[in-house]
Amino acid sequence: MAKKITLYSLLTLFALAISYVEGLVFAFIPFIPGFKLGLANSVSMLLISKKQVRGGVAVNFVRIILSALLFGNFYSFVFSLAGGVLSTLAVLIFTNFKIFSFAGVGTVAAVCHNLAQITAAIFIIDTVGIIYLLPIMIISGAVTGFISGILLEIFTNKYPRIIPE
Amino acid sequence: MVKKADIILLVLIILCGLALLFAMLFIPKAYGTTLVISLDNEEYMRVPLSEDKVITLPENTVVIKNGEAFVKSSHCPDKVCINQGKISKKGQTVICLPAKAVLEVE
Repeated sequence: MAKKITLYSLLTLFALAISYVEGLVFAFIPFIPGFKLGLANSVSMLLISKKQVRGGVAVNFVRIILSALLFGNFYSFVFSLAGGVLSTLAVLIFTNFKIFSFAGVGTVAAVCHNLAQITAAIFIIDTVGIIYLLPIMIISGAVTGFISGILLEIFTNKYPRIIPE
Repeated sequence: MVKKADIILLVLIILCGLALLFAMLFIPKAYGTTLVISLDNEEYMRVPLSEDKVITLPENTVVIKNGEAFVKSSHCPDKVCINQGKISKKGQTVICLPAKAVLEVE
């Protein structure tokens, strides 16, 4: 139990740090507000694929709450939470389909994340005009999710025992 | 490693996104009912597009005819507002920068 708590804490911190750094690195990308690869989600994707479902879900949501408390505000919290709920659900469902590797699961998760964020934005800002971001969010979500899935694939091939069974 | 299904999924989603993009760009918008005229960032008047009318603004003359609105004449030097043509669909605008006049269809 203590071993698991330590592992999940470290993974949460890792996810938190990587999502913060990603936000800084990709801040220069225009037209797509808050562009990221979504590497933080890979941490939970890895845990869920190793059948540590509760751990994977917990790491994601603790990371979202911490990130809002440390770097964000109420609105950024609502955006990340909406994205987090839907993308985690997508990972939970699509991990069971063995025809997909991390790349496929990551693609679906990232697209779901972006769709949830657009929906949240429509309600919060109260403008349907944001719907014009939809195509670009779908395409960028698919590409970033695919890339982060491939990165996770490479990482786990190199360090297959990073998550103890 | 990456499987065939991953790539098929990626391509399908990107195609959906592109289809949506083209649909948004090319599907014509609905016709509007009202012309909103703003001067200097403040709403100045609203007029229905249904009846023909000539509106005289401080710097421009706006004409509504057959459900379309356009700037007929303007005191400004460049006449960009006149060249922007007729508007009738929701969200379309004619903007005259020197006069700070904005016409928008709603």
